[in-house]
Amino acid sequence: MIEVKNLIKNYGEGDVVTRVLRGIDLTIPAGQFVAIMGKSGAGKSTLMYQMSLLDQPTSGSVILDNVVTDGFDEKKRTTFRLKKLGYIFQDYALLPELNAVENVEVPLLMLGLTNAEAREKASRGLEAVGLGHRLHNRPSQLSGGEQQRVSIARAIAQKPDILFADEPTASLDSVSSEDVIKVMRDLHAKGQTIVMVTHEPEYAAFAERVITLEDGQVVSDKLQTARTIA
Amino acid sequence: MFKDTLRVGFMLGWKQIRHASKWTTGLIIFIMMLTFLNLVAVSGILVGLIEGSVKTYEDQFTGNVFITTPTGEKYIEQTPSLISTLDTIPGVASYTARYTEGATAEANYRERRDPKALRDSVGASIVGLDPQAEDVVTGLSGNLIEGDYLTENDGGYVMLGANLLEQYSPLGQGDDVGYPTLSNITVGSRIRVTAGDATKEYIVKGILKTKVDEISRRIFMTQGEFVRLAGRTNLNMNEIAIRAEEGYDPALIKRDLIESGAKKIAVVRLSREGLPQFLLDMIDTFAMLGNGISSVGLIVSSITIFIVIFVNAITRRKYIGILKGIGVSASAIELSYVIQSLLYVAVGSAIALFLIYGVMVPFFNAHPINFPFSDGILVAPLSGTIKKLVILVIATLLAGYIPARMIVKRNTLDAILGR
Repeated sequence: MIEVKNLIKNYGEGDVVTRVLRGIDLTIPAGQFVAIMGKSGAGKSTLMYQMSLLDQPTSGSVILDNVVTDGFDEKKRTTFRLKKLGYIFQDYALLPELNAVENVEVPLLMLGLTNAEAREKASRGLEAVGLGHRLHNRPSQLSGGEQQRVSIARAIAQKPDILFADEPTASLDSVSSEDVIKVMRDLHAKGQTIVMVTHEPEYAAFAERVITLEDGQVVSDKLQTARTIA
Repeated sequence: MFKDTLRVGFMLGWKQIRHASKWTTGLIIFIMMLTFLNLVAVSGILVGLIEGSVKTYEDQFTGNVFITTPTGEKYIEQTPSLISTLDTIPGVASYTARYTEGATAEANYRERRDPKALRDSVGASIVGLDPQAEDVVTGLSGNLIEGDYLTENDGGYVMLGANLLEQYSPLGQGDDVGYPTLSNITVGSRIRVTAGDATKEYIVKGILKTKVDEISRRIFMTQGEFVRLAGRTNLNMNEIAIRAEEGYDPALIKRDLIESGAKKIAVVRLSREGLPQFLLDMIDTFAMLGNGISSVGLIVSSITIFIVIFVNAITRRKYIGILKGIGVSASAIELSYVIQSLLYVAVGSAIALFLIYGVMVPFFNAHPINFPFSDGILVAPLSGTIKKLVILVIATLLAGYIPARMIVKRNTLDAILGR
């Protein structure tokens, strides 16, 4: 579960302060698939950075699975991300010198799995996203959609409590985007909590809840019937 | 967690190395190799200038252990007894005993018409030796530049050190050479040698030239000839040079000699103990000088590694952010860069070690650098080389770690977003 209390994020100092988040309160129960929408500059990505502990808010609290993360230093935040959170980046963010299975292995090795265990788990993760035949391909040898699926496999390999996705379809064509969304939908069906930032309504439609931001504030928070892929 | 950090650090570091440009990696390794060569070779050659001289002194003059006449004495008392003792001491491969005496040598005396004109004469030590034993211990015959080596039965013949002769004087020819020399003396020339009250004419059989001044300013004759000229009526000699068996510690020979009572009648020293203090000071000074020069190379290579790692890390800032974002610890990321530095220094140093011990040291031993006062060699003791290797490794690791740390400790999100 994610609880955000009076979250404020400012950039800059003095007269040039930009108020990106203006006191956001929200709760996301475990197992929910939430889409955060809004225009460019609305603060949707910034909100997710705070919730996923990639950034520190100016004030307010982020409570993840009943753990108050406010006082966490960089080391604690990194460890928490490793153990509890998964992250899908907009531009895949794969390490170019590692092949697909090695990219997925990295967080597993950090978690203390043996090489064999990590390799097996990473392979299974890639098979689950339809890349069982691409284990040893480098990112440069994969299409955008395949790279994003590797990124998803890496994000979910350690079975995170919460999966964050920052515009995961932004760099993909429609076919690849649907593939990625389908994978996320399947994960949600298995109970995975997902927070996805998107500016594309057709993909937000797959979420069961849509939160819309404007000028750093929540202007709409609606539950909906999630769309399914035929 | 520490083990996992190590594992991931190694994996990331190794993958980065494999993925890096081979030319860049090769260039950095080349720089590391040159740095290590510079560290070892510069001071090694500077020290080698003096060490070469010391080695020549030991090889050609004193042997490993040198027994000499105590101050105030005319010769080593009971020399035959001491020599008998030597025959029983383990580790002695060979030895040569020498008579020495101050003398004057005069040349061109037959052409001198004016009794008031200056004599063409020099002061020198005459040495009575066993030519065969001397050659075994010091390889004296190898220093011949003209004529032939003495034999046991060469009565009436001498060999001259080249520095006694004008044409070989290291200070030049003519009247301004700085110290007296004999003019127009070649093999077959006659000289007159005066020791005490006795004077005798000799024919020059050979001329010897070495970089050991003590040898190049001596007059060599057989022991029989010496006894006849100097009038020594006993068998007591002045110097004994001892060569130790290969691999045997000469200090043990010295110890055994002292325990046998040799110290009461003679001065027993290892070759190096007889060196003047200024020479030992020069070795230290040259070593310091070499280390100073090498340090510049060390700083340059450290800066090179620093820049390479810094540029590498800054261009990979986004990936560093991503790694932190997915939960890889800062230590593991830093370690990956340290691993790269370690590879550069390990491979560079390994090549340099091969070049030093496999090529340079054997080469300089076989072909010493021809300095006026010594045969320069490359001095690279293993212990000193290991110390320098440790210094280079530490400097390189720091030069790899610091820039990585500088980049890794930046804000994770800023790194990911490239701002």
